[in-house]
Amino acid sequence: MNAVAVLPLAELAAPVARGRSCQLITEAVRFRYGRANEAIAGVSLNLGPGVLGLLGPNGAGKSSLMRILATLMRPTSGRVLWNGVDIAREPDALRAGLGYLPQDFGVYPALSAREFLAYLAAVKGIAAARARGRIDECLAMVGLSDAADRRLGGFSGGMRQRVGIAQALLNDPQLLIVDEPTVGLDPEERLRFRHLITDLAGARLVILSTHIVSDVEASATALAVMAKGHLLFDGSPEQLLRAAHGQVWEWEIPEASLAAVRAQFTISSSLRRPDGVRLRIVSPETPSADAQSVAPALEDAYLCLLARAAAH
Amino acid sequence: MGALNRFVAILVADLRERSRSGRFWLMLGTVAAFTWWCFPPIEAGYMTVSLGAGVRAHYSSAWIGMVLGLMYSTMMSLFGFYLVRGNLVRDFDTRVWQLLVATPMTRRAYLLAKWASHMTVFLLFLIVGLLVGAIAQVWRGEDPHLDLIELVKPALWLSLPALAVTAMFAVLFDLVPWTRRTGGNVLYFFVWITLFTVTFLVLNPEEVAWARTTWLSDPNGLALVLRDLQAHLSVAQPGTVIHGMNIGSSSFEGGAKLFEWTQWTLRPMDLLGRLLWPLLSVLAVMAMSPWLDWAAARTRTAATSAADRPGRRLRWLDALLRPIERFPLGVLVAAELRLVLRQRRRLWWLAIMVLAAIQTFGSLPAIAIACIGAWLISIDVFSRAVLREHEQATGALMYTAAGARSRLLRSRVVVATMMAVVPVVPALVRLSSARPEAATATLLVALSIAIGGLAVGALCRNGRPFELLLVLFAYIGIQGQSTLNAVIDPASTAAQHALLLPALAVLLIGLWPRFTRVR
Repeated sequence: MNAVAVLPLAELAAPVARGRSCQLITEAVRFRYGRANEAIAGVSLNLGPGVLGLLGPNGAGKSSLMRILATLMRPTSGRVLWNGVDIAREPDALRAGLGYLPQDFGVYPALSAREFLAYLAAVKGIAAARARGRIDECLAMVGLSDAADRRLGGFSGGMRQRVGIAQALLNDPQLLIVDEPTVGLDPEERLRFRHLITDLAGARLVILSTHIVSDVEASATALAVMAKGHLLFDGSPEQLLRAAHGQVWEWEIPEASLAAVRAQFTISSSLRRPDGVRLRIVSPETPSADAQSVAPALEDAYLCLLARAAAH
Repeated sequence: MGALNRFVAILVADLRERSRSGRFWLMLGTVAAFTWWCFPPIEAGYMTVSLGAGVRAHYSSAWIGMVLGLMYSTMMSLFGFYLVRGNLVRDFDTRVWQLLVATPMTRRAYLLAKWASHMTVFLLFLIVGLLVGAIAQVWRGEDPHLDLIELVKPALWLSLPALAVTAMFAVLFDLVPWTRRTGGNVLYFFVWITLFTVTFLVLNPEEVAWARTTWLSDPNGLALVLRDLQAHLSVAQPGTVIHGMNIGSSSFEGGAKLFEWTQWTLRPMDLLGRLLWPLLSVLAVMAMSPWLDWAAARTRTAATSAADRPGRRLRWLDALLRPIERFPLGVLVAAELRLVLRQRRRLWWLAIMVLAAIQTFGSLPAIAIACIGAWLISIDVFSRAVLREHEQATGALMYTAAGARSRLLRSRVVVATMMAVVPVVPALVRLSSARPEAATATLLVALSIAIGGLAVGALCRNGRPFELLLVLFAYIGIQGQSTLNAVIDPASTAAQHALLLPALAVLLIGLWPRFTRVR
């Protein structure tokens, strides 16, 4: 069903305006829904070109931050500066170079993928002549060239998501914000998306918000971790991994003990084997004399950070 | 006990869901203000319920209750439909139904709970009306004796049967897939007007002899009230001959004539006649239950509504739109026109052609009616065009583009104008030579409908109010009223819309930035 003709991404994704400045600063950004519910509690970030993986559990405030960065909401306090311009005052300064893929979005089923992109290109103010070429490029980037003239009403969820990505790339954005992009995608689609994000990075800033660590593992050059509206970590993946060094253990236990161990420790993964269960445990101390210290993966480091934050 | 708990839980959840929107409280406030307007001082020069010209009772509790009952049974049975409908569709579209269907709740109980939920809202509005009515009685001071039973009795016996029927239609129109949106909103107006007139004509005690003694009554209770008031007046004021009853605002000249009316005594059989309508409504709702699963499977996600269907390809349209795509705004306009036109049914295209033929070859009155028909069959375009981003969740894609808000507004205005003007082009061409003032008036009406639809849609964030207004004016326009009928009195039509257009344009431009905020 899905079209699979994908052009070499590196060639297509490259034309991003090199030389254009690309700096996003958030200064103590706060956001409240109503009086009591603080979704973002003073987040400060300084971002340049590259892929920022914004991680956090559900309800961490990621989507609220994404919506503020995408100019859909204004912060309750604090500022967001895009190349030195406050986006609350001049949203169009950012919008001109913004590509945004929201977590949930709809499409117009009566239009074909090409027509829908042409429509959005017009909404973005891209001249028709330039838009035509760019639409073909974006469709090729997401592997929808063969389905370009099919109407969106007949597209699968994954194909619609790819149309969403294509629309975000139409204006060759300096800032690309993608919010939980892999939710609902099958493993093959998810892999394709990760490759796409990797290829898109370069002179632009890509902010990839997700609660799935493996989504950012391959592509992120920087990481930010949020929980309950607070920024818990801002640094490189290596820094996050270093912080978890010596706190990840592998331990094989009988199946009957699993519930007790689960109640006592943070388990990052488990593997059922004929003679028991092999666990990967995140803990500052060794869970047992039998447990072996192992090198942390990004998922372990992320869980370690969340466990530390919860303990405090 | 479990069934009762489930029933109450559905009522409570529905009431919470409804009452947690600002629109609900706005409507409640509007109803309170409307109720106050129903009881003008004697020197106001208008009455909302009167016999003949300028005859009414003193503002006693019984009369206040009677007026409330009649006003609510007529007005609320029309407007209330648009207010309450949609709670079944919401359950289907949000897939809450899929959670409910896995419980022990029966389909019949579910539908009855939804019907009762509508009735609860009506009852809430009626209670507010009764409170305002009681205040009005004390304030006006024509009869300071407040009798709560006499106040409540006529209000309940008159309005609840009509509202029970309305609630039944609200459930039915939510069940039938093609009446869930604009089609149902338009159809209900005609159902209401038919039910209102036919039942009254059959039971009018002034015209039909057996209606003077029968226990049957129309859903609105008009025949019953007319019969009892005339009987009362013939005893209280012998020699006074009064024909007919006015409901709604009726002005009169000379002094108002007041009579005493402190108690309304219904015969036991009349009560049975009033109970017949709620009973029939409940039976009808229960009879719908076998179709509930079928109806629930036809949700928006299953692409059953016109707005969600891919529709026809219309290749000729692509060729036609190619020239306008050369202009900066043209791509947007062309795409929006494709969106609108591809989803039109075959019947719509056929109707457009028939209406165009009538405009080309018909008489002047026929031209006017064909124009109204042409606007009416595209009714969903005007107010719902502005709601597209809200309904199809594309707002976040659109409004994050630089300058998108202004571009979208301009393209929507162009598309709505084209949809209002192009179907009446044959009339415009004919009238421009035969009656230029009528052609100007027709053009102004078309522009007013286009801008008005967008403005009212943006104001209410809902297509229903504009659709109701347009149907209402179309109906009275066909009867000869000049607001939409441009050949009856073109100068008056043109003047109305020349005044309305700038106001609507200002409203639209003023609302647009706020309306296009993504929530």
